[in-house]
This record gives sequence, C-alpha cells and structure tokens, in this order.
Amino acid sequence: MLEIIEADETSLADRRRAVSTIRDALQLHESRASFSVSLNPLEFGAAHRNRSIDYLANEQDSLEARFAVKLKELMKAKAISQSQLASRVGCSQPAISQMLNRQCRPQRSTIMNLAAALDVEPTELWPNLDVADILDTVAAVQEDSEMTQAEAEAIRRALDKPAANIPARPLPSHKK
Amino acid sequence: MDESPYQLYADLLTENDRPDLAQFECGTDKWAEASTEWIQGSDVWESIKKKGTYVWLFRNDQGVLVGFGSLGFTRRKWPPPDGQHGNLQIIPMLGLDFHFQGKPPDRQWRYSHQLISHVRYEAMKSLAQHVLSGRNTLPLLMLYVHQENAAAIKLYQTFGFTAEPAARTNDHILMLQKLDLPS
Repeated sequence: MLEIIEADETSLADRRRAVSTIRDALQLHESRASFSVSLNPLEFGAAHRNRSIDYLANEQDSLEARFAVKLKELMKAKAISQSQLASRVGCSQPAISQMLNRQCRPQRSTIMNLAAALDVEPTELWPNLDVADILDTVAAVQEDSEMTQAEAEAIRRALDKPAANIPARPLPSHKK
Repeated sequence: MDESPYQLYADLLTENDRPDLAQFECGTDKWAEASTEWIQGSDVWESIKKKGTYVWLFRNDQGVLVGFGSLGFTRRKWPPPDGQHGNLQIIPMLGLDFHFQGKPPDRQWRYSHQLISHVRYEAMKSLAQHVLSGRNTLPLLMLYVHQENAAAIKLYQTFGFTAEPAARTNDHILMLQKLDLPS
C-alpha cells in the first residue's frame, strides 16, 4: 500500500483509497475506533515515524483545503498580492480572500483563470478537474433558472403518472 | 419493521459535525470524489445558507458516520414559459462512505436504501407542509445524476425515479418522480 501511495503514477483517487485502507488497518480512523481514548496522539506519533503516514495524515484534507494551501504558496512564491491576482483573474479581492479562507469553492473557470494568472497547470491547483465540473453542475441545477424544453416535457410526463407506490420511512434520531 | 443492528439514525448536519466529516470517503469514482468534496468543503454550507437545503448525516448505532443526504428547493416557472414561479424539490447530493456501500447483505436494511427512503419521506413531509400553507410547489422530487453512474441510476429507479436522458445538464441526467403526501 505504501508503494502505491508513493508511486508517481498513482492517481489521487487510488492514493486516497490506499490511505484509507492503511488507516483502517492501523485503526487510525478515529470515528471507527472502539477505543475510549483519542487516537490523534497515536496518529501524530506515527506520522512522525514514517514519511508516508505523514502523507496519509494530510491526505484526508478536502480538495478545497489543499487548493487554498497551494494558492497561498504560489502567491507567496510569485510575490503576488490578493488585489493583483484578483485584477489578473478578473474577480474581486474579497473573492480571492474567500477562496484562501475556504469560504467558497472555486469554479472550474476560476481555477483555469487562476492557473493562467499564476503560470501553472490547472491541476496543480485542483488535481481533479472532473470533480470541479461535477460540483459546478450540482450547484447550477439548484439555482433558480429558466426551464429547458426537455426539462418541461420530463416534468409533464412525471405529473401525468401516478406517484410511485414505494414506502418511505423516516429514520430515528441518534441524539435522542 | 423489526429492530436491527443495521438501523441507521438521521440528524441534521451542524457545525459540530465537521470533525466527523474529515475522514468521510465515498470512493474513487469522480462522482464519488465530488460527493466527498461537497460534504467536506464549502458547497454544503453554501447550499444550506443560500438555498435553505436540509442536510442529514446518517450514523449507525455506534455513532459512526455512514452517509449523508440532502433535500432542497429550486424555482422554475410552471408552466413554462410564462407561468408563475413554483418550487421543485431537489436532492442536490447524496453520499455513502465506501466502507458501507453494498452493505448489509440484507436488502431490507441496505444502508443506501435507508438513506434514500428517509430523504423521500422528508420530501413528502415537506410537500405536505407546502400544500397546507398554500405554496406553489409541484408534487415532484428530482435529482441530477452523472450519466456514467450506472449503479446510482439503478438504485434511484428502484425507488421510483424515472431517468430522463434528454433533460441533461452537462454530464448529468435528470431523474424525477411524482410524490404522494406521507401516509
């Protein structure tokens, strides 16, 4: 598993899966552990003993978190201020600030513009652009918008049908 | 329904749940990665804040996070093009940690089924509230699914959703179903 993690050709997705497998084997998944003590100190120690496990400890961060770290690093390395970057990208300085502070996710188009402005590959900022596409789509379909012809026809068909006779069951609360 | 060790529990997502989300992992397909990213990143909070989306976390009896589900609204003119704005219920995102996918073997307690069943129930309950308060809400539940995510499409069909491949946004196709009020 460590070889998979360290191999250059391993995809981010495969790397994350290998990470999770090792974490399970080492019982580093705190949420799945049955111990009464926190596993964080164990994980911290393990991370310092093994470079790969150190990688594991950081690997669980979201793409958005890693994007923010990378963007900050690149801005520092290239000595570009938030205002300068905003000007190059065509967005506002607060928008850059929000991305750096993980208050909003960059859309794919913003990733492309940032990459061009910083003269890096887009995947250096956001390793999996397919994921950015999907997230953009999920956000877009929830926006209020004009209905397409195909959407309207699909809705008419659904309204003309009887409701699905499939039971639905609410789940109890875990907090009670 | 009998009690089972596979019973899931649903509670609305709160800020206090953030630490549990850090190790949540839906899998390695691009749509699974997107699902993980949606719940771990800022998209989920944007959806809650801007669109009033409800997001539930599903845990087992030991409190381990198994999955999440969401239910929100979008507005469209109905009938198009000049009808009044009406509400449509939409499932923005669902996710099941990969450790729990395809489990348990007993389909009656399959985690994915419990999760969807709960969201459908909440959609019916929400529809009933809208009807009682006279809001213009279509009796439908919709979602968009990646066209290559065959397993999810099949699962949604099991729960009464119909795929409408002609109605698509980027690589996602519309699936929808008519809703009854909850019994």
